[in-house]
Amino acid sequence: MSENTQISPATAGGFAGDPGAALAVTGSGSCCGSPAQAVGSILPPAGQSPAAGPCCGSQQAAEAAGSCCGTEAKTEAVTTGQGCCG
Amino acid sequence: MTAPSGSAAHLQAILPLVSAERMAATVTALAADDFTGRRVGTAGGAAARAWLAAQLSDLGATVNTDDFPVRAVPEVYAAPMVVWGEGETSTRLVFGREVAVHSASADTLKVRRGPLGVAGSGDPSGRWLVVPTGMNLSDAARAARGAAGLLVSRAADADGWQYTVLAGPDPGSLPILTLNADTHHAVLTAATTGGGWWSANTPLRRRDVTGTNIHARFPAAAPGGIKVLLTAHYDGVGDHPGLRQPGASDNASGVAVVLEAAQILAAARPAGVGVAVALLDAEEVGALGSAHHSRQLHAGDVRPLVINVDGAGLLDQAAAVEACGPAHGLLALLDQAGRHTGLALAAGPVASDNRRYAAAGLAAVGIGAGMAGYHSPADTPDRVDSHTLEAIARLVVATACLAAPAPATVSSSIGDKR
Repeated sequence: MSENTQISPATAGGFAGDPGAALAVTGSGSCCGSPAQAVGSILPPAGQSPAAGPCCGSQQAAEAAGSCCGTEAKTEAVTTGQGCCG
Repeated sequence: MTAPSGSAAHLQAILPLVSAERMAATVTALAADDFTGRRVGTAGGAAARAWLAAQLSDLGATVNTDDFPVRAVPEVYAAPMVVWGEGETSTRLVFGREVAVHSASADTLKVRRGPLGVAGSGDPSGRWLVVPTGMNLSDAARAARGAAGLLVSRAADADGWQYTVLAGPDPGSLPILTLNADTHHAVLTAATTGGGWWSANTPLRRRDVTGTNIHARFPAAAPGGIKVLLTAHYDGVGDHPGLRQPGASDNASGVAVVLEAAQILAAARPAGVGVAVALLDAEEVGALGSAHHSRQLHAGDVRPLVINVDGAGLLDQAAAVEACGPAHGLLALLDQAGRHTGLALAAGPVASDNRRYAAAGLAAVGIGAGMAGYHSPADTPDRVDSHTLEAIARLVVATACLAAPAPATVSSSIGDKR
């Protein structure tokens, strides 16, 4: 796994708001997911654009590398401890 | 069970069967020394797989395994020997905390010694170059022709570990070590003032290995029923020489939840639900086990509801749920299960195998409930919270049971197209 997953606020059970928000989670639209989070941190709210993914770089760079991530972006992601996939 | 399958009464009857003690025992077993952190392609991974297959067989499942190739898995094959100094003083650095091998490093077993320098400044020849904070590693590497190696800063986690990452860039031509903030500051200061030397090796090789998924099938659903696929990855980042990395939360905890849910459902499965289990390999190198499996499902036009659990170690207020694919109906079931079991849910990233299944067009959700000691020696069984295991297992069992009458009794307010 690439990150810790802890959220607020709590509800009595089930989703506090629209369950459909789970379909628009930050990073889920990208190949690399979100950066690894420090344990106990609160993740950014769902629905933010995944465009600023931690290690994908540009689409062109990813295609040139034959990967889901551009080579330089991938290297930087690992260097900064963010992790990467693919 | 006399209550109708999937009914509230049925759930009331079977949810108390969930055993936190049984799951804790599973976590402890998978985190044991014999399994060496369960990195893909290792003897420890194979031993864990054999143990898990036996567990599933004991539940009455039909079990088989499926191999796939995995290329260039990084492996630190010896603890790096890293010493540095100024003048008459020298300091040996602690592997895993003060220093670690960067996953893009070249493999050098032989120790290299040289004066310290600053990347991008002066003649790099023969020097270990400290990369200033904020300097791009690729830029530093381009300016390091003839250098002994690169030293880059890396944040440590709350326990002081530089956690392990297996999925990463291809190796370059230079040895690269990562330093925690304090060490990096001290070494950069020494390099900037023109003093200091560095002596180190970077024993990191890449191995082409075989990954192996474990599949377990229980009796199929009645005609017209719903297929539910429970998944969790059993691989970990693996031990380093002299450093155990048990992988208790990530993801022995998820495997324990899936095994427990399978046990409950095998004994009291609603007639309209077919349950299968996939325990996946090679998640830590890029979710390759699920990529392999999802391709097979797609090719066979098999379309189960996929529930993936990654990290059931430390619940804080709410479990994270990420959904992709045509998962509106599955989310509605999950929401109802959360309300029934009292477990709060919130949309949050679960960057795991669920994304591979979703990419294959399946309804897939990932459930994560936190972890301590991510990818480090601190990911130990004692830090896996038994209440979290129980809460997630109850959620999974309830979701699977509620899937049985879903077409007639469960509607979604979020665009369910099923």
